[in-house]
Amino acid sequence: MTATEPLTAVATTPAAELLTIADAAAALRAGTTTAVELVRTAIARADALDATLGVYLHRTDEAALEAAAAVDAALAAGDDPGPLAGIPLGIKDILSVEGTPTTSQSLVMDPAFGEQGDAVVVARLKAAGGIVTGKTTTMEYAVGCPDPSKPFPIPRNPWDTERWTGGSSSGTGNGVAAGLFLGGLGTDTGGSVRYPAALCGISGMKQTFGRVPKSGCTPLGFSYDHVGPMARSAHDCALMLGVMAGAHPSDPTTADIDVPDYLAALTGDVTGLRIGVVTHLLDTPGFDPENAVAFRAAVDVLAAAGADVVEVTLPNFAEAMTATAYGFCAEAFAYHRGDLQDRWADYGIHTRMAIVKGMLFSAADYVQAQRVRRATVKATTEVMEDVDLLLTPTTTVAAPLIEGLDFDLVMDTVLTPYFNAVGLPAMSIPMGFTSTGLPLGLQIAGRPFEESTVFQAADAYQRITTHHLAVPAMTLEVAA
Amino acid sequence: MSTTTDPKTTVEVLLAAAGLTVTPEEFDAIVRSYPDVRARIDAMYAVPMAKEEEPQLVFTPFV
Repeated sequence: MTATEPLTAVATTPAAELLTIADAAAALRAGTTTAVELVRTAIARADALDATLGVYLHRTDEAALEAAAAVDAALAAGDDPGPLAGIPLGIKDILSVEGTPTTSQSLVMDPAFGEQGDAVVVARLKAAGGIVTGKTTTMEYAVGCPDPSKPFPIPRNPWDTERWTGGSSSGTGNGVAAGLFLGGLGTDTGGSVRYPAALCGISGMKQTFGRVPKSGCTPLGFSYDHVGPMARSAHDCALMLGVMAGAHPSDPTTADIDVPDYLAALTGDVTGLRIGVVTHLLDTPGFDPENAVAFRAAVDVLAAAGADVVEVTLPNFAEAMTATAYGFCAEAFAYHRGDLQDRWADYGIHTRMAIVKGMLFSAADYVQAQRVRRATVKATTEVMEDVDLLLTPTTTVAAPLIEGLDFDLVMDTVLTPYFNAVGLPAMSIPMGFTSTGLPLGLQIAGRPFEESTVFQAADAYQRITTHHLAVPAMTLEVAA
Repeated sequence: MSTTTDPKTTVEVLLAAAGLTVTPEEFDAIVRSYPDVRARIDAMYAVPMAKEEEPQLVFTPFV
């Protein structure tokens, strides 16, 4: 199979059964579906499932159908509308999208933020032919847990609707898993792309800090934030990132480094790749033994495929986790302090109690966090002289129950914030299920700006396994 | 000047300095969590390799 071939056969496949962007794009070009049919399917699934799952804050059905018709017309005229032509995409509602409100799922948000038009990444997706089907649920300002006292949907996990999607890119996570769109944007400050990807059974990439412009996105932690792609497969994330990546003058933190052809790296071959397995994280308090079994099985898959596997230790793990978990709260506190003074009760309880932790961080603490980050960047660079990739579980446990969610406890179950501290690319892909049918995530991290190697291993794993193609039973009922 | 490590006093002072008014339940929760939060933050100062390190800050004298 070559990098440009779809993951599964698509001939005469109805739009409702197309699981991946690659399959849908191939079907579109083969003439076995149309962009309008893809969007109508997305709308039908939203009509059937959104009230239960809490995927959307705002839908753009009409505009999406108009955009889809334009894609079909372009294809009929022999034009190439771009690599994401006709693909329904959900956009996390902390990103500005032309013609839609941006609420950050908050009563506090200034509506003027959404009047700036498309965020740079959204404009790039649209220019590649992508079709925005709506704005998706998030944790308020991308931090916290659902607060039922506020007038916003509670995002629910399609694998068990009593359980959470993870956050904060909740609606993009459960929307992809349930087929309400084929891909979408999340943001990741401490794991908010990778955490819902893991809990919802999809793939999500937090690329290197500076690879993708953040302009047009509500900030949470200025030096930790990333806008990242979420989709069913690593192949689809690679396709999306290729469109999203590249420096932009609106975001001075972006790096003027060439964007490689990520799809070209998807050879299916991991022979000789050196993979560092971080087994010490399996000793994290509360780690689910079933998760450990799935993780070791995933390592075995890559080893059997030809990768050279060695055990490694992540330097300064606990301290780097703290540098992220409290560092971003300090940055968020700077942004929100005035509104917290004036409108404390308008914030959701979990959000305000998370951000207020920034108040506990002194100026010296903040500087020390940044010194720890630099020291840890150097230390991980040394570790990665001997390995090409790092492998960890994404979380310690699968999706928690919505009832009784506690943000502090949630933060103790995610193994993602380390890579926000050091800025390395890291993605989560499905690696199996618990005995109760809940998805588990495998985290793969690489060297700075070497997302291609991460995608290479993730795609190779997904050519051997089928975890990423599993769909929740409730969505099958809709398709039927 | 006297100093205190009493979490309740510390949190009271920090909230007052920040101009924040929280509910009694929230105040109690912050006080309860403070020792653990402070311990985690203090542990960052014990990273030997950070001792002589420059902070990872970005500043440019232009826009």
